[in-house]
Order: sequence, then C-alpha cells, then structure tokens
Amino acid sequence: MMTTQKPLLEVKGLKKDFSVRTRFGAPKQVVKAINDVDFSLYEGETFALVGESGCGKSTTGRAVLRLIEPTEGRILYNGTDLAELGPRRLTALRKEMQMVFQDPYSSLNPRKRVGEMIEEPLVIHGIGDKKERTLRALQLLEKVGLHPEHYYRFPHEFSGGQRQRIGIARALAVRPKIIVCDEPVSALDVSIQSQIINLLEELQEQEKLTYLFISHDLGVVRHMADRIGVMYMGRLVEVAPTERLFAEPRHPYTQELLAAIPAAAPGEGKLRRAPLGEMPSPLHLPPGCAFQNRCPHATERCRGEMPVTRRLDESHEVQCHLYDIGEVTA
Amino acid sequence: MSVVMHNHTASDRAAALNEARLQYRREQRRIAWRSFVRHRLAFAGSIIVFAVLLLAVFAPVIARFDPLAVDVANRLKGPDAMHWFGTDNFGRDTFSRVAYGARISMFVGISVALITGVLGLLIGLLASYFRRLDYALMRICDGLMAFPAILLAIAIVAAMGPKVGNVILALSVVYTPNVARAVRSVGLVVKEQTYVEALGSLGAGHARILFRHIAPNCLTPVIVQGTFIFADAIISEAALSFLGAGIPAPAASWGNILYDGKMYIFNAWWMVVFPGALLMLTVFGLNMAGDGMRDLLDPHTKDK
Amino acid sequence: MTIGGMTDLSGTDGVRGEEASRKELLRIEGLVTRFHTARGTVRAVDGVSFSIGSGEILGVVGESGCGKSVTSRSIMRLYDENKAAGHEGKVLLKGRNLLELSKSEMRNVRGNEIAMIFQDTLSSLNPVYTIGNQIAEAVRRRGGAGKKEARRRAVDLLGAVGIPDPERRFEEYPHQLSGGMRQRVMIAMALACEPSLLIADEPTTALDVTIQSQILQLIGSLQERYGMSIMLITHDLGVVAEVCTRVVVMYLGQIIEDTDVRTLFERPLHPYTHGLLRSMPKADRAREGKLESIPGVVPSLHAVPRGCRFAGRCEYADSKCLEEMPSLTAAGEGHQVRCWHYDRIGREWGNGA
Repeated sequence: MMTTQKPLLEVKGLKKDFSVRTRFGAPKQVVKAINDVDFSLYEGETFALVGESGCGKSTTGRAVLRLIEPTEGRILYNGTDLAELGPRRLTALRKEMQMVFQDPYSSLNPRKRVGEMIEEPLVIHGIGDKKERTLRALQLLEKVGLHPEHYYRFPHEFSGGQRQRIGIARALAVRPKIIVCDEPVSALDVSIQSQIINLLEELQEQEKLTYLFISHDLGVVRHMADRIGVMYMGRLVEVAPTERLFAEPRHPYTQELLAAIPAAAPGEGKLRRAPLGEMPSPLHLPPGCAFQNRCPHATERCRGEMPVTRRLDESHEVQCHLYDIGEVTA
Repeated sequence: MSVVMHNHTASDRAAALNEARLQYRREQRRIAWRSFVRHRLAFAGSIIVFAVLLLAVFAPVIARFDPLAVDVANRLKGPDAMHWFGTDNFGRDTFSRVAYGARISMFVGISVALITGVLGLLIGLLASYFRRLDYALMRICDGLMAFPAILLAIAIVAAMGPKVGNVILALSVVYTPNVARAVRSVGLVVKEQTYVEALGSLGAGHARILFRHIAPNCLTPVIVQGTFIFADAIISEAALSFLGAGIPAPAASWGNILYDGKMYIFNAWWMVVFPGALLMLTVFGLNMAGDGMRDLLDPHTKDK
Repeated sequence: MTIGGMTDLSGTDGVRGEEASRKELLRIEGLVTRFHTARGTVRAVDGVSFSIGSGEILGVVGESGCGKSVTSRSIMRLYDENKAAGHEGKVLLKGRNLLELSKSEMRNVRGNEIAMIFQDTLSSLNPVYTIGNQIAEAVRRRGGAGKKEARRRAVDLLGAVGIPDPERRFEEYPHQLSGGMRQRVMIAMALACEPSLLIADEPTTALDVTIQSQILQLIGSLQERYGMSIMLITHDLGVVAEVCTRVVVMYLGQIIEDTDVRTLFERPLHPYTHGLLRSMPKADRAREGKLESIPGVVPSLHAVPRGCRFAGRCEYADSKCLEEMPSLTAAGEGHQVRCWHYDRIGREWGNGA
C-alpha cells in the first residue's frame, strides 16, 4: 500500500560530519555521524529508527528538521528541498514538522508557565490573537489529558509523564503534519510509558499525523511502528515493515539486536547466545562494513568493500554483502 | 446540545480561568513569602539592609543636626544624649553625618548594582549565545579583571574628577565583568537545554530565544551577584573616599567620615567605630541576603 | 599471603553453593526509612520485610519513588543518619542487625560483606586513577594482599568480568572505556571484596540492549561461579525475567507482592503487578491492539492515601480499599500479596488474559 503512495518526506543521501579533537592539541578528526542515509516517510505512518546510542538516529531526526545542518544530502518535503531553504521559508515550513523530545525535564523552560509555552509557537508564527491563542492552548491541554487549571502552572509542579504531555501539546499547537519523536517515552516509568504511547497513537489518528519515531526500545517500536529502519554506526542497514523485520531480520546486526531483547517470561532467555563485542570507535572505522568486527558471517569482502543498499522486495531493504541478489537502490 | 453548552461556556471558562490564575498567583506569593520568612539568613539580612535603607531615606527626619554644621565649641565630644555618636573634629554631629552618609553609600551601592546588573546581563548573554562575540567580550572582561579593582577605580576617578557620578561609573566598570562572567557561565548551560532546541524547532528567532527564554533563567546570578556587588560597592566607595579619591568633603559618606576619624582614632574612637560598625553591619546584612537569595531563587530547591 | 581473603574464597565457595537452597543470608524486618524535608517527614520506605537466601538473585521492582533504591541504601546505611534520615526495623545480615552496628563496624561490612554497583558508572569511578589501580585498591582494602599481589588479582578480576586484554586495560582511565566496560569494571571492584551480597542498582538501565544482555549474562554467570547473593534493583520486568529467581514488587514505600519469578509472570495477584505486566510493550510478539495502562500517577509521599496505596489507580478498588490498608498476606507457597481482592484477581488473570 505504502509504496504506491507518494512519500510525504524523502531523505536522500543524508550525511552529517562532526569534527572532534580527541585531546588537547591533537589535530581534528572527522566523525561521520550520519553516513549516506536514505528513507521516506509516507503520510499517516509511523516510521521508526532504531539502534544503539551513537548510531546516529537522533542526529538523523534533528538533521531532518534542520536543527542540525546536514553536511550533505536532500530532505524533500512534498517536493521542496528543506536543505536548500533560506531562513524565512524554513521558518514557515517549521509549522509542518515538529519535535517531541526525550527529556521531559530539560525540554520545558522552568521559568515559563505551561500556557505561555504552548502558545509560544502560535506567537512565533503569528497565528491568532491573544484570546484565540489562549483558547487553543486550553483545548490542547485537554487534548493531551491535562486540565485547564494547569495553564498557569510552572513545569516543576508536574511529573515526568505530565511534562511529556505538555511537550506534546506544544508540538501540536501549529497543527503539524510530521512529528519527530525522539525517544519520547524512554525517560518515563513503565506505567506512564504506556499512557504516553496510547496518547501518541490517539493523536496520530485524530490529527492525521506522520511520526518519525526514534527509539532504542524494541518493544515500544514493535508496538508503535509501521515500518522500521535499523541504524548502525551512522548507516541505515535495514528497512522493513515491522512484523517483517521481527520475523525475518536479514542484516546480522538486526539479528543480534533482536536476540538481545530481554526475555518476556522467565526461562526464555537462558539459552540465548550472548551478542559479541561492542561498537568500534567512530574515529577508527575500518574500511568496508562497519559491523565486520562483530559479525559472525564477515568475509574478506566485508573487510574491504562497503556494501550497498539492496532492495530484497517491495518493502525490504538491506545493506549487507550476504544479500547480493536484490536490485541496488539509487 | 453539547455544542450549545460549549459556546455558552467559552466566556464563562475564560472568567473561571482568570479567577483560577489570580488565586494561583496569590498562593504562589504566599508560598514565596513564607519560604522567605522561614529562611532565617535571607530574612535577617534583608531586615538589616531594610533598616539601613530607612535610615538613609529618612536621614533628614531622624538626624537632629545638620551634618555640615560646624560647632567649634563642641569639638570631639564623646557620645551623650545630645550627640548619640559624639561629634567630630569640627564639632559636627557624627550620628547625623553617618545617617546622611548612609544616603550616599546606599545610593552608590544600589546604582552600581543596577548598572552592573543590566550591563553584565547583556554582555554575559551575548557572550554565551554568540561564540564569535564570546572571545572578544571575555578578553575585555579578563583585561578589566586583571587590574586590582581599587586601583582601576582610583585611576578612573582621578581622570574624571571626584564626583558621586564618577565614583558610580568607576565602580560599575570594575564590577561589570564579574556579573558578565557569572551570567555567561549560566547562559552556556541554559543554551544547551532541550527547551532552547525546542524553540529552534518551533522557528523562534535568536532575539526571542535569547531575551525571552534564556535571560529569565540567568537572572538568579544577576540578583545574587547584585547583592554582593551592592556590598562590595559600599566598601569600595568607603575605601575610595578614605583614600581621598571618592566623595569630596565636606559631604558625608562613610568613607570620608572614617578618613576624618583616622587621625583622632586614639582620642575620639566614636568617629571611627560608629560609621565602621554600620558599614560592617550593612555589608554583613547584604551578604546574608545574597546567600539566602541564592537558595530561594533556585526553582529546584523549592519543593525540598 | 596465603591467609589472605582471596585464597579463603575457594574454600568457602563450595560451602556457599551447597547451602544455597536453604540458608537465609539477609533478612529485613519492618524496615522504615524516614526523610525530613521542608514539607514534613516522609516515610520513603514504610515497613518493608523480605529476605534473600544464599545464592539467590532477588529482583526488587517498582517505579521511581517506590522506595526500591532507598531500601538498598538503607541496607548499606548510606544516608546521613543524624540529619536526613532515620531508620526503624531490623536489617539482619547472617543474624547480625546492621542498623545497630557502629559506624566503623558498618564500614567493615560495606567493604567486605556487601558490595554495591550503580547505574551511573562514570560518576562511580574516580576519573583521576586508572581502573586497575582502583580495583587493586579495593583488593588491598580487603586486606592481606601486597602491592604486587593486589595488581595480579586486579588483572585476574578484569579478565573474570570479561574485559579483553586485561593487562593493557589495567592502565586505562574510566573515560576511555565504554559504558558497558565501565560497568564490568564496577563489577570487578565489587568482586574484589568478595561480598556475600551484591546490590546492583539499575546496573543496565543506562546501557544499550546488546550490552545490557552481555552484562546480565555476566551477572548470572558470576553468581554461579562465586555463589554470592544478588539484590537486583530495576524498573524493567524484562531484566527480572532474565536473571532473577525471586521478585519483590514495591509501590509507594511498601512491598505489594513477593514471590518467585515464575509465579510473578504466570500468576501475579496484585493489580499493580498486572498493570505493569500488561502495560509493557512486548518485543517478542506482534502488536495486540492498544496497550493497557495504569491510569493516573503515583501519589506523593507527602500525601499517602489512607487505605490501600494503590486504590486510587485500581479498577478493583472498593470502599474497603479506600479505608483500610491491606497487610502483606500469604497467598500460596512462598507467595505474599498486599491486596484485599487477590483471590478474585488471581482467578480473573487465569481466565481473562
């Protein structure tokens, strides 16, 4: 179904380099935080980026919103290249794409009242007059499950879950099409997590939202996402519809990641093979595939040549020399 | 029906909300006042400072003598019912001079605290937010801080003439870098908070982010530093006047009262002890208030 | 040198293993931990009783503010007892009440009998010393080892916790290691004092899934090898399922359910435990409609409900629950629950879900 649709957002050849100084006086080195990432977002879907810390999933989310300037690549929103927009047109387009952040504590200004914070985006974009904005804020508070009385409160009076609701209300204020959710529940307690997940799902339905959902939690991702992209060391190594990915993971890294999921019931995890090794330093990447040092199937070819992304079928793409058959994507 | 209800309640809700807001504000104010009163340090310090302010404001009412009126017959008289703090070498009433001196000292202190607060906040904010400005602004601050403060102030007053305005100017130049640095270090932390990034994602411009969002979070160091600078400025004014580079005679300031008194320290102790004690008490009160303020203004400690 | 601690270990090792099935190592009775705050005194831990058997891995589960970390810190007596906190009850380690020990005796217990590892590994290690030195230091504190011996032992420990190339890693500083490697170092330091009890406070929460699974396997294998007991504090039921043998579930300072791990997952009796199990998104099966969630939030410790502490969020709650606090009652062999309606709930869990 999705592939026949035109994508709402297309990311092509996205790259982001950071230069770092490893120690005082040493020459600067380049870390490729995102390396040649392509994916599309279709209207109304939830596309999840998963991977371990440092894999570049959050950087990708931020680069898509141009909160970080990408080094290279195109970000097409309805055909318009975001990466080339000047500041004024970019500001106008920001209404279409919003973000929900991980940390419910630092994402709200401690000196601002809840109402002011939710109205802020409306003020920035010059939407409505004072009274209309207040009414909109009140409406949003109810929509995310808070009370109108909360309008005049300060963030420190709220719990983590409630703060996350405030952050969601703020993102919704300008009626965006796409919301980038950067680990929106990982800082919350289990019982609160499910409340926020359900809220995000309800809002998606009501507001026809498209989510780019960034998470390291495979349980949350399996529940939320329609499609999943797996990232490793700045590269998107596998993309597939959710159930497809869990049923038939192709990339050895995906397989390892799925094997590491804690058991759902006692006894189930005991016989499992422990994953091998850790991520290499992004500063000293070997030539070839970045996963070679942990991969049980690595060959000579993996140590010399970087695999390209191949399309195994309509919806399943993988970047690995083991799958040499499919069509090479652009 | 529900639609009708909805329309009907729109203005009602606005009114109810406003009532809720006012009640909430009252409550917040009550809580703030209560925690202030309970914080013994802040409360005691503020009472001392407030008392000295009253003395300064009502000096003409409280003082029974003209601070400049010379009375040769009553030179260097010890404290008695008439002259509570005794008289000086010109027969002027020390209590009156100390009271009027409080006016100048407090005026200098408040002015310097306000000027350094505004300038320091501005410089610190700009330095923390714009990396290119940071280097230039901080090197200027380093340069100013490299001079011993009192020498720099003497140099400025010497160049421009000993007037109250120049003393304030000189001390403001000396203390602004302290505030700017404190603001900058807080600003650098605030800048990295997610809500600043969130503002970027909402499309907010630099001015909005810097002055509407970062600035309010940097006020704590300005207020805390401000009280300490208030205290420092009073001491420095006294020191300048004591060195003869401050408030020119015959106007009374705590510094030049001490200056006059130093020659008679062995036969007229009251000329030095009273203004000195008041100076010490004021600075002590300000520092206590400053320390207390630091605790009270931290939004994270409110709940604890 | 031969009388040193580490040589003793091999001797006691077997004994500990044999006793694992019956002997109680730690027994906590009616533990209360109070904190004095500006808004009044709160009881962060309120009458907690449980025990850890030799060789057992006990999971202590709950959400933030439930008192699980406070319980562990109270066992270790890490709070400033004059100012911040006050304790009641008993913490019996091999029959000795830790709450009655003098400060220096308690220091001895901390260095030798109970060790602790934390979630935040970077701030738990001293950044200015090499990791090897820090472990060797822990070995020497235990006593009986010279400098050289301590070093050799530290290298052994680094190897034992699965750090590759331990000789070289000995010389590295904490910031040079990844989070997973630092947690291994923390575990090595804990092992250096050959504890009979290891308290692990959210040891894998800050780590990635693949690393988490490595660390959990390490903890499991070390437990088998050294025969110590482990108290594992976590909010993650997946972690519990992975390694624990018994589980204690806490809510707002109280234990609400205490059972073996299999029963907890197969026949939980407290509605809060139900809620936790059902609200967790599962990675091992496809989505089954909307997640169930526990409504509302955990009440503040400043306003603890009068009756059952979970009543305000509980679908089974009736007037009795709001008025009277249920006590922890035996609901089966080694299964305790704090709920008025556990009978009915147990039946419904079996049928409904």
